[in-house]
Amino acid sequence: MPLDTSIDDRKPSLAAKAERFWITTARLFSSSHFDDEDLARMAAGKAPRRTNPRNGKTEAMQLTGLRRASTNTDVRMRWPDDSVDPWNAS
Amino acid sequence: MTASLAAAFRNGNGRKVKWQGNVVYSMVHIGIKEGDVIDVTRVSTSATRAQALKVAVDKGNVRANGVLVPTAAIWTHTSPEVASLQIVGRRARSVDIWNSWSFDGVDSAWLGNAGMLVETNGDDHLIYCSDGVGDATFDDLVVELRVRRG
Repeated sequence: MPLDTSIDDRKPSLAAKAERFWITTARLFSSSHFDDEDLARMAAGKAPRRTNPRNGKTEAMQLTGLRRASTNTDVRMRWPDDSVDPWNAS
Repeated sequence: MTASLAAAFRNGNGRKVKWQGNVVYSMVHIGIKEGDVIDVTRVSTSATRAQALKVAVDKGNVRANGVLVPTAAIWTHTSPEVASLQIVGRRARSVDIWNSWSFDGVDSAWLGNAGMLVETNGDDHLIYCSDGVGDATFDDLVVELRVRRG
């Protein structure tokens, strides 16, 4: 289902679009670095998570571009990360 | 994918696990001080996907290629074979080091079967990295890391 599919003339909320994104992504990423727990979360429409050993906290994957997105390819996934590549810094 | 290294880290202290007879790290912690220089020499790397070593200073920065940053990402497709990181900051006491990889264009770490084997001899560390994709192999990125004390 396209992310921006309207039901009963109602536009989907951001949460609904995120849910649709993760459900589709779970099917695409069945063979990847996501383990069974994360794949189950995505199949249920939730973001995958990881444990950051630097602070012991659980981090959820983030989405950008969701508001204007029509399809999954319009959305970018990213993990929280403050690193900079000094050889590719602009 | 079934029981993964990431799951083992979650069940332990998050930084170190015993895995098939080896001690595997999700993050390596090394004591440093201002003026020290960390040389990272790439020994080998996977041709399948870009790999990186991340180096983060606790209270300070590293200067690499003239750029001052708290956390440097040494990517295989952009960095030289030998990357030198100078520690900057009077309060700097340690660096955290972990491996990362690019999957579907996403900078990823601490997932699936990601982890590092480390051989330490004084200030010399040989680090064998497994990215999170597929089985744990520890040959996706291999680097020599040497701390030159300032």
